[in-house]
Amino acid sequence: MAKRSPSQDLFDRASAADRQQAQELAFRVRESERRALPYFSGGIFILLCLAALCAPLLAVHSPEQFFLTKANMPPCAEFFLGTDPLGRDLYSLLFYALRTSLAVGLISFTVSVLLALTIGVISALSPDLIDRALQRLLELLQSIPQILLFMLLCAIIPSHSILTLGLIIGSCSFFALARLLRSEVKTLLSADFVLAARGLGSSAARIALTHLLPQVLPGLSFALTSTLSSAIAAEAVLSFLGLGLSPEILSLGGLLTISERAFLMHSWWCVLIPGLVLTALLGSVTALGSYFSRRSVRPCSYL
Amino acid sequence: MRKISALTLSPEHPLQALLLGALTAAALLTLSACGESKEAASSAHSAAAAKTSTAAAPAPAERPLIYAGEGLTAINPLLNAHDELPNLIFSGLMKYDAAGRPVPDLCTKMKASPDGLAYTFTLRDNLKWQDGSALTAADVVFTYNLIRSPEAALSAIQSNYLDIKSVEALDARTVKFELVKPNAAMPGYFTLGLVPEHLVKGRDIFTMPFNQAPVGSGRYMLESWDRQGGRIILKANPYYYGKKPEIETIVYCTIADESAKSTMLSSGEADLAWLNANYAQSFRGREGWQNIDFKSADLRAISFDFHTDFVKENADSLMLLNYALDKNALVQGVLQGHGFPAYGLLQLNALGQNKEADLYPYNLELFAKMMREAGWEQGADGIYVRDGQRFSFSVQVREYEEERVDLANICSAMLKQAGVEMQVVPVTHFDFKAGYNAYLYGNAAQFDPDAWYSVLHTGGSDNNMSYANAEVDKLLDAGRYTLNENERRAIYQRFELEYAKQPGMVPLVYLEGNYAARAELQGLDTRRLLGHHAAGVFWNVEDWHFASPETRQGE
Amino acid sequence: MSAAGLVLSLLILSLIIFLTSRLLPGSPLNALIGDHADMLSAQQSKEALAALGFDRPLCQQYFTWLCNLLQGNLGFSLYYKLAISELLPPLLVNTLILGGLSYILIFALALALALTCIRFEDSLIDRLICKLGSLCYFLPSFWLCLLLILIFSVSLQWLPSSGAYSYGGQQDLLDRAEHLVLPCCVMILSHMWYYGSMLRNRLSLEVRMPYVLTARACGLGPWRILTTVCLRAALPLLINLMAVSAAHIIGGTYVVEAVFNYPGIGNAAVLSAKNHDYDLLLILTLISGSFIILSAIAARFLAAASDPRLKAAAGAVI
Repeated sequence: MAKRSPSQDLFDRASAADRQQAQELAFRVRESERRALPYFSGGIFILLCLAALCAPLLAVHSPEQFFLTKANMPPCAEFFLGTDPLGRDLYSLLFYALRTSLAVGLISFTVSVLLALTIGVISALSPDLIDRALQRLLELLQSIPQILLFMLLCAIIPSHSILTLGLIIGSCSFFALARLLRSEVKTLLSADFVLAARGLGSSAARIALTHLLPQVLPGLSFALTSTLSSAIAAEAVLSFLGLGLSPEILSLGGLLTISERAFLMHSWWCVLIPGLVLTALLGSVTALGSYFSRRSVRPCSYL
Repeated sequence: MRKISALTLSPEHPLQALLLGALTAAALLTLSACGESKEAASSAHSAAAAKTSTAAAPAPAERPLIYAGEGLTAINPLLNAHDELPNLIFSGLMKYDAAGRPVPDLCTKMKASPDGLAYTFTLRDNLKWQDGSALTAADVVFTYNLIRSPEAALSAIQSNYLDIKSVEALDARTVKFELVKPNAAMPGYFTLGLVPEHLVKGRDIFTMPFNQAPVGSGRYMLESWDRQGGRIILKANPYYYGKKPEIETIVYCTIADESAKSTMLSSGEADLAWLNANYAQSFRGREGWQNIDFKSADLRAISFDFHTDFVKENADSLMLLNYALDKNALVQGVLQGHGFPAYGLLQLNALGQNKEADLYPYNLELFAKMMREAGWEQGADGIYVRDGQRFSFSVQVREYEEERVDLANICSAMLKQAGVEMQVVPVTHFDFKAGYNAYLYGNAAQFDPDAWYSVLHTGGSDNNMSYANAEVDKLLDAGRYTLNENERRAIYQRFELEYAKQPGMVPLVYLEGNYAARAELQGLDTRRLLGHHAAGVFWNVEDWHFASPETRQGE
Repeated sequence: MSAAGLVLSLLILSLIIFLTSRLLPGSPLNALIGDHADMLSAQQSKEALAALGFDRPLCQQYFTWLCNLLQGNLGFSLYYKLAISELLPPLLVNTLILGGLSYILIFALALALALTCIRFEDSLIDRLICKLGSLCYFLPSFWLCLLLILIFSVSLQWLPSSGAYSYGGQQDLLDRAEHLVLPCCVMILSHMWYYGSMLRNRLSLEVRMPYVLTARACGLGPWRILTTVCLRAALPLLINLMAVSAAHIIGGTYVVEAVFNYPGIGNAAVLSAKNHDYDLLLILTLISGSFIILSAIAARFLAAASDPRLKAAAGAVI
């Protein structure tokens, strides 16, 4: 434990009463909130995931079929959500685009989490010098605007499949998560139960899996879901700027690129619908994340 | 106690949030949609008029013409013949008239010797460069020596000038050209813009700062180039020898994005723009704007790279792709009917128009039959295979040119249905060393058919696809060196046919030059056939003017 | 972080970007000469690259670049064909105006809305603001840009759709303000509620403190209490947020500038990345990165300075 200065003590005592009150109130607040299960957000997210998985079953027309004579048609019986300026059925396109966006999002999420875990844990367990150097490096990389990092990496790797784009986005989004993980692990390492487990002879891996991980994950749940939602958003922005997936592989960002053209030709359905779907996806993911983070504050039952 | 609800970032009732948002967005969009409809046309009209009146607070004579143009980084007539600005800033010995024929510009007369081996030009009196110094025959000699020199070896137009044996200044106002052979296209090539010797001598024409601060002798001079804001300010040249333009200032905006051009025109920030057919369609019938449709010889084609193995080995089957492409559908879908299907290279040229060169009409059964005859068999995935090689090739497209991207995507879909795999690769700029099998090509021969010489002749300066066809070479040479017009027509019509039999590209469509402008801009003349990227619209800019709002409302 | 640490960070940042830029494909000749670069033979390409200094070993290139930088020579932009030291000032000014204005407005509005929400907690206004705010946060910012352009530029024709100033209006404040409205709106809408909700949560805890009850009992009005006492308690959070948000907001300006074609640092970065103009990209990244690092340092100082309770502990922190 670090040596505490007298002023630190004073600070603690002066704010102890405040903090206790605030915590009590927060606890009461969260108690009522945590019971509200995110039925709607969860439902939307599951619905979107299912829609993406069952894309071939739900799509009416093939997304690659250009109905050139029926381009720019508003929603009607034949095309539920209308057609885009090139005559493709928006309804069918939407499912395939959703599938691609979710795939890229999940791949980058996995990559981010793995990288953050590795580097965060290494940083927490290493000697002080390496730990500080790694932290400085992460801080440095975080200070470059993320979109710039994406552009640089996208330019290095010429062709973008779903996998490569997921890797690119994942490897640029893990910095904050890594730092968070490292600070959590570091505080836990000095906790009593870890000392006890070590005293009882548990191996490092066992401690990590059974003791550290369950303690760490809930606190990070919000950060994790925001990683997922920012990965989906990043893919949309990159495809919009023309740096993401090639146009044959349609994603929600690609659909929004088309919307830029569509609104000049007054096809409002091309602009509104992909945007709403993307917003719904991002919103539901974030709502789920905040539910998990609220839930985690509940103290453990003593049973 | 009041119920405490600690809200975090997520909406408490997301359903309500989304519905609210959707309603708001839909309401706003309906508002905007109403904004386009005829009922609200009057409000748009008055808004447009208000904008015009505030923008034209100076009288119409002083109103600047704001042109939303393409991105560019260098203004130099020696580099290529496609750009708009060199035609405004520079001028040459000759220029093209409304019918596309060369007429004297800087010279008072051109004397051609009967055998076509010598041309003598007499320059006008008191010619000045835009910086005030005198323009003499020495500058003419300098320019034509420069375009033929090794320093200009990378210029796309160099091979048009290699027939000149010598250029000589007989005195300060007379220049004599001697040719190696009589070249029928030479009068057209004398339209090359002249560059000042005292500013260009000794510098590399590709990287010299002159390209960003050009000084020419044309109708407009470059006053300033706001690189960050993307605006080039042109002012009427006070030393111009011909008719003074009525519009004093032209603001050329370099816009990289096609949709941004359309947006700028819609919002009143630009007065004139070349738009693709889809965007131009949205201005038709709109109060306050006009559409000016030029005919253009601008061709779009899939041009194959004969450096790559696939193309070299399968050159006999490339023309069969024409059978599988429904070019009428392309014209209807991508061009909104503003254009027509392409089968040959000179469909709009006075010396071409050989209908017999249409050898491969759209016919899927015929395609299947011809492929089988050529030895191709359809594989398990539907793609044709011959000797273990799949009919699969890559085509690179510049991603910011929406029309080309659309054409490529739709062709890819059509070919896939027919059994050929065409991969579309969007790029920021063409890379001919990366090994792509083809690219979505554009070019125009709006004046003399000899424009195809540098592109298709073996070793031509613009022949970056290494196309080599001995028969075509013979015909191109014959066409260039025959002086009689009727004979040339016969030769070029045979050229069209021979090229179609063994082509290096699959022609897709001819475009129109769809310009959209503010209704008060008058003077554009559609008699002229436009070139690549609808270049040439400014051919009579000295006659353009803005009508005053009173006249317009009285119409 | 001391001054030495700052310099070291910047050096490492520049090294990382320099190496990355030299790894990028696409020859710098394309930016300089354009399409003609592909027609060069191998020998000519080599000579041209040597003339530009790209053939020497990487360490030497980096060292040369660093020396030039310290002497004030920022390099040459191959895309804009202008010296970077000449090119940058207008870009910086434009981005500072847009970024700075949005920055101030984002936090001013976030604070104002948080205060309003707390004053009318749980009422319709509170719920409405929270929902609309979070909805705007989720909307992709580039889509919001398109929507606003559609409505205000194309349909209603009230505002321009691109650029920072119209022809002749470079010094005209009104003209510049006209061009700033839409980009600022997008920036504000997409970032505001992220900080607003955090401020709102902090304030909601604060109004449940006993001293607020005391103040009410003494007869002070709710707005007075909010704006004097509670605000001061939330100030450390606000300052902390302002400092750490620099990266987020700068990243936001990149996309907004690209869509609105606003001539600023962000748009120049996107264009230089697309056109392989690596020298410019290097300088722009350094500028953004150093700005973010500096704001992080400023955050630590300001946080300590604003909270008297932490001032005493500040000695141990720094």
